[in-house]
Amino acid sequence: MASGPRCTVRSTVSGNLRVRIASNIQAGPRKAPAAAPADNDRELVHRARAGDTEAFATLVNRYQDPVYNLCRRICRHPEDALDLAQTVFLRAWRSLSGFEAKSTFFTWLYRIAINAALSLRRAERTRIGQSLNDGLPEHAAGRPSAKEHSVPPSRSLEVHEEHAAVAAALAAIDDEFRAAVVLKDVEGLDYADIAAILGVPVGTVKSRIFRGRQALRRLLTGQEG
Amino acid sequence: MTHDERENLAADLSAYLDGELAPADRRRVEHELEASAEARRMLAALREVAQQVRALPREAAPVVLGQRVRDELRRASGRDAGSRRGPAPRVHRMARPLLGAAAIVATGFVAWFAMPRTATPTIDAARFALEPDASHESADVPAAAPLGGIRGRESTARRGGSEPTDHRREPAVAVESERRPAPAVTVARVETSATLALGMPVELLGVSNSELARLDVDARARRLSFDASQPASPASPQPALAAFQVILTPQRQHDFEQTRDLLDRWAAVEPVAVGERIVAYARRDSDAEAAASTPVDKQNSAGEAAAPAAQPEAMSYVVNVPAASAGAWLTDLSRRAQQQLVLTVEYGVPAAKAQRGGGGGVAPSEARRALATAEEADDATGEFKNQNQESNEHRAGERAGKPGEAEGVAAGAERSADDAGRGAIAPNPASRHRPTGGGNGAAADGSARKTAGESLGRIVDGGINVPTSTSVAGGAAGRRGFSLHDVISPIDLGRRAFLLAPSADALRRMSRRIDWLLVPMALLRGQAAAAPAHGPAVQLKVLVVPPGPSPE
Repeated sequence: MASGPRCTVRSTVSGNLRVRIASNIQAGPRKAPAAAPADNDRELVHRARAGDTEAFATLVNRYQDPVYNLCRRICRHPEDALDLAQTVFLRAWRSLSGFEAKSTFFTWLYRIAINAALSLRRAERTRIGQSLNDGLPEHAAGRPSAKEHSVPPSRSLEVHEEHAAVAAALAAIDDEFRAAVVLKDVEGLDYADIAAILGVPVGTVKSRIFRGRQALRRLLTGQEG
Repeated sequence: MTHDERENLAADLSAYLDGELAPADRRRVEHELEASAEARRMLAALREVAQQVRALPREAAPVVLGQRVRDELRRASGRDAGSRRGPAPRVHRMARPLLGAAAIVATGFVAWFAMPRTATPTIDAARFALEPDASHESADVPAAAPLGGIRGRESTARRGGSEPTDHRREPAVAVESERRPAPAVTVARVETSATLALGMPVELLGVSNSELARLDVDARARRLSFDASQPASPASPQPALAAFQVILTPQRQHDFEQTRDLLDRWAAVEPVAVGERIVAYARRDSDAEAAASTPVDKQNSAGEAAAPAAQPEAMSYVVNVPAASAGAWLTDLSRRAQQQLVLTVEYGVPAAKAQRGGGGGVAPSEARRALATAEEADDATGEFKNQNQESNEHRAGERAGKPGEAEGVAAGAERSADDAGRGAIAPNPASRHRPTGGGNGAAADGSARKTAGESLGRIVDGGINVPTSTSVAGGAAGRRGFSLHDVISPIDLGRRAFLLAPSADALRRMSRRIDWLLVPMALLRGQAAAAPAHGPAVQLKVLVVPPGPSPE
């Protein structure tokens, strides 16, 4: 091992790596594709139901980011989120014939995602073994974020810590509350859409969001009430 | 304001925050906000929480997601070709049970007919032979070769060279063929399924013969070459706990560029710079398989020089090492580090085992004996001197006989936890590249821990300049609610947890909080009670930091 050149190489290699990773991470929250072209969706769904995989692939392309992020917020591990997102799309494909277009495709897809995610969480609880990564906060089980090197390390750590704490708290609250909070605060959906996705009345959505925030507050501050 | 009224108000405030109140309710809430400081505080608190959640970073879906879905659709289309196209038609609810039953029956027939009747490699646990044994070749698993004979290849793999893999040399796992139905599941499901590392040496400590063989078979199934060797060390008195160094290398060589390409392509594979190469840890069999089967580009296969080595910025391990192997393990580690890295070694006894005492665990006296075993290090060579073991065990036994000492040691270690975390874990820059003359933090006065610590320090100092500190051994059982940090990524590799921090500075910052590192993996998994008795073990925490200034 030669120490001299390695220092240079390290920064090059690591730098490249981080840049690549950075390109996969977005700057901040973004609105779910509420303004997705519903008419276009309908047409694509119609074609997909007739067996047009390309049409369905277009739908996948369109919704993979919000679906993945939804899964990411509900699953603990990125790879679980990836698997789950894949499952969601495949389940959607298989269930297309049951899609009656009473809601938008997006809402219907989210409902599948939420149900699948909650099922996964229930299954997780029954597992005997746990990975060391269980309970890891944001990014912990994954690669280090590149963003930390674009800001001073101290600040980066603070940001990481904050995100980690929030993600960990989010992971700790009740599944029903988390789903509602994620759909509201992460995905930016309104109560009516959330109610349609969760299959509950709007009043229940209001209550779950409030209780979820309340629980988060307690976890993040250690305070009661 | 009653509790219920406060709750109702808070719920309304939450909805008000989201703009979801009807006009009349909104006016009422606004009126309340004007009049009540408590309402304003509640709103501010809810707003803060909502903002914190909104501020969580969003990630684009991995590229592989769309590809996977498309592949599945294509596969489904292929299956459907000739029968039908498109998504599944709705099946009447009443018909589903019948279809399910039919499917089960059909699957049973298919499985019965498909059951292999050929010889299958199975492992004779008693044959932990390190020697080649041609008489135990199997059709599926190639013949064994002496473990020592693959050392040259190990270095080649580590340098990421472009030489073709030498398939004539095969791992030295004693594999025995038996005529019995193939346990296909055994091959398909590997307990360490999440831990295939590409092209890096992985020490499997305390690995059983069968586990090693399973890993071998699994690696081959994924077209990874499999090397196993024993670190140069005296023969372990507990062969079932012998340490192995395993290198899994894609048969088609790849360099760092290729690894990065893999990482880009397979988002679930995590990049980590370890030692001389960037390592892709595949958490799932499918990912490892996919990564292993990803073709390399022409440039690399043409034999061009591999990319220069990556260097870790900081790396921390915690590992339960069989006491008898601890010295050898450290010696090997320091040899490989070759004065390029600064190692800080902490040590302790797995707390859960020590606390459990009997009942399959390790009694405190045994634990102390394990630590005392580490005293057998030779300053100059870094090897164990086994001839002195008995006398030290005797001394340790005497110490263990003193009432209350176990608790005292644990308590002392507890007290020193913060100190160890803040000061001792982080390497002292001034100590780099110069001998430290043994441990620098023997806090457990009068205990075996202290002497063992100094000895361990000397072991490592024999090959490298290493400050050694005492460790935190107690309290692991009560620390399930540990605080993890996002910059440290623990990776479970077999019986060993790797913790990787992106920078030395990050790790130093984290050092205050990593007492959870000493929580044994088995305890975390809730398997402590079911874990097989591994014999006396020493728990080592190793921090590896490259010399020189921090990248930041």
